[in-house]
Amino acid sequence: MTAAPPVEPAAATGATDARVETPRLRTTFRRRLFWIVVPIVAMLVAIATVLLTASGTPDVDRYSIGNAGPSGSRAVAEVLRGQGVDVVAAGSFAEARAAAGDDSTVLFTDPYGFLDAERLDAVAGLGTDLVLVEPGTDELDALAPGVANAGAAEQADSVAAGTGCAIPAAQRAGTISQPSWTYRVLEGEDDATTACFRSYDDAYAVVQEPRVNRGDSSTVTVLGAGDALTNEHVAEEGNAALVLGLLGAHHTLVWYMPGPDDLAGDDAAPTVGELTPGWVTPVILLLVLVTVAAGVWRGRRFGAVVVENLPVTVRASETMEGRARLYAKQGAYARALDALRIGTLARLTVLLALPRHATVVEVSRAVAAVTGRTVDEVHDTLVGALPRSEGELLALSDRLLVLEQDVHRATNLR
Amino acid sequence: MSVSGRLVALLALGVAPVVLISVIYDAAYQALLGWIGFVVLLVAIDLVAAASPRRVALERALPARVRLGETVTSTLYLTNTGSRMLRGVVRDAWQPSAGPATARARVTIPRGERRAVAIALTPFRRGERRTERVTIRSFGPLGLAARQATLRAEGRIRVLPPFNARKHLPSRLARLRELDGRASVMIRGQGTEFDSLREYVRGDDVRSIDWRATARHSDVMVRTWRPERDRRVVIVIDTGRTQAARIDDEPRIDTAFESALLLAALATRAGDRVDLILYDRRLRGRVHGASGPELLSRMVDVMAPIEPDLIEMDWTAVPGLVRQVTTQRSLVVLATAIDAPGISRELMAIVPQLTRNHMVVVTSVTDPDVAAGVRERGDRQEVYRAAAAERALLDVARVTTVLKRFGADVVTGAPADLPPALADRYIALKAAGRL
Repeated sequence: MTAAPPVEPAAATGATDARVETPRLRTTFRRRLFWIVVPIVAMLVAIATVLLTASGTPDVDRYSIGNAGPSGSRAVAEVLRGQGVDVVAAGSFAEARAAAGDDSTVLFTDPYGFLDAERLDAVAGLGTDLVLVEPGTDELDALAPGVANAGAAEQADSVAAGTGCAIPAAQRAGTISQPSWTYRVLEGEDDATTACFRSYDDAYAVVQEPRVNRGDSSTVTVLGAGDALTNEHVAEEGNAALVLGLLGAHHTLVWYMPGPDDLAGDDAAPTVGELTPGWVTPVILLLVLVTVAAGVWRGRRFGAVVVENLPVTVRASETMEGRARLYAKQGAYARALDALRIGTLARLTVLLALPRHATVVEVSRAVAAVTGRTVDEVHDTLVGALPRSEGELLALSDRLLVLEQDVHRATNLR
Repeated sequence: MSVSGRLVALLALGVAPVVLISVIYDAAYQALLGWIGFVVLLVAIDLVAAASPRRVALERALPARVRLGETVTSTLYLTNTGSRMLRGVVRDAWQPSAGPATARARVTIPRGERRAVAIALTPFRRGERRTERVTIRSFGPLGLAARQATLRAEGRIRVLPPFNARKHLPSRLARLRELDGRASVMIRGQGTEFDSLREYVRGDDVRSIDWRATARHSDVMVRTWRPERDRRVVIVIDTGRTQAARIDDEPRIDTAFESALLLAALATRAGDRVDLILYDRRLRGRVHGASGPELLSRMVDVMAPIEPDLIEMDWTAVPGLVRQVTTQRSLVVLATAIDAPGISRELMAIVPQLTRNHMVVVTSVTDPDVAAGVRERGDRQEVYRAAAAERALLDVARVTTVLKRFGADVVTGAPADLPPALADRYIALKAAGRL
């Protein structure tokens, strides 16, 4: 019969305090009102700020007439406007064509290469006079076939118009600041082609030739000194005289800088977006919603997490293992052997029924008598031999074990 | 609020109308918006039509105690006090170590009625296991969305020590009974009590013949003896940090509890009075003046919630505690851990105070890993391990020697062997009349 503690049935029955812990929706809303209102107000302020400030991103394009910074050309445009020239900025070919009438100058620069050869050919028909700012090879081929690129200009403080210069604006300017690019006239061109501002050999900063396939006096001017247009350098040397003279010759100035609208693609193959059926995007949106709903379905917590203090699990033999690792790390074989020997001695004392305070010599004698070994050998194993390496420690440990087993066997036989 | 898998499926079904309407009328986005609106409408209807999970009255019925390893049923009664039928899922948030078989139960409660949710609990850790909250998720008639609320409904169950050592009790009780009625010579020692007179049978020691009684009875009578009764046994269990260590996946303190329970069961049957003190730096629990079946039930009740604390045992207070219990000579059992001499210094310091008046037995669990480690010397690592094991055994031996020299008795054993070993020592002491 055991005196087991009784398991009491139904000891605690009764209505428990069923207090509702989940706050009502109204309470939650009121508690979080601040954090609902703050983001909304912040968003409203941000939207208002954006709407109230004039424009979004500032104009930073080089040579852009909207750019008032050092690399822009607003100064030139404004001065020309002040002189009664109608300056029109064109960002695409369609705009440029609409703006360029009979009496107009077209300034054309395409540093990003938006136009392909076909479009460049079309540009050749624009306006009366054409001014190309630092054109590349493609532009030259299409718009000024008599002019070739001559590379970067030589280093110089200023360049003079030169004696052979027949461009009135250049003559008026006299000198201009250091140009960036130079051009040369190809062999076999007629006399109407003229070059000014010689940098070296036959490399000039400004070259003017009659326009292709036009009988009239309209010209195309290649301007290698693009810096002369910028707000930063326009006031230096004769820069202002040169550019104002070149650009202000006609009633209208079309400032044509091709943009992304000029990219070819009107009649290109349909894109992936055009090929996909109309329901794909809505279905993807729906599937995203389904994923969110599934997340809520699986992720909604069914009440709070239950907290429980768990005991630490520490094995008691950890201290022993730790000590063993310390011995091994330090290579403390003498100390380790000491421990092994003390243990063996204690057990031998018990096995041989010797008094608890028996000396090692007494134990050795008794062991020798029982096992038939010499006293010296036993004494050597039990206390005498000093290990000089781990190998010897292992050997001695084995000898101790064998000794113990032998004594065990011998005492059991008796 | 929460949603069901049904809602996810319904939302996913929307792919069909969106594609169809897109192909036929080229109005994919309108179809998408329409479907989402339709689903939102259904969810809103479901939420409005769902019964309020707040309007549920809770009652619990569960036993106050369970022994570790046994299974009990915890019943939760839910009364729907709302005005609508409640269909939903109930979660009774028991602590994991209470071992609930299921955490969730599906219930359907018509208005004004009561339903029971029974959960089988099989705790796997001693102590007080509790549940504090019940969460109810009430679905609407369409089963798409649910309203959810957590209600406070506390319940607790005390998980008692398993007392696995009770399997040793019958054999020890039998040996205790053998002591009764033995002739004095077999067990002669100081303090054995006179029991009765009986006729001489062959084999009895002639020295136990009571000549005066023989003269009165005209038959040869012998005196018989019985072990002393009404002795006191004081069990002091150390609940300090060293008792938290696990040996054979059982904390030392649990082994100490097992030993104490077996000893108490035995001693109370033998007619001795048992007192229990659980102490580290403060009195964690005590059982005083109980006997019979009540003793054991009170002991397990006191032991159940005790876990070792991360503080050093204060042995200096123990003699005072024992003196409070009794001043008469008694058996004082100190259940602790015998480690290195440094750790056991305080124990060694107070043992002489106790042995002056009492019979002191110190019990400690030995680690079978350590004992096994001594023999394994296969390679370098194992030899060092054996050396460390020898060192650990030597430390224990030194403390044991000191304790024995001070007059205390030391009982050690592996976790499974310690309770019967202590019981045997008690029987031996009783047989020798040393109590």
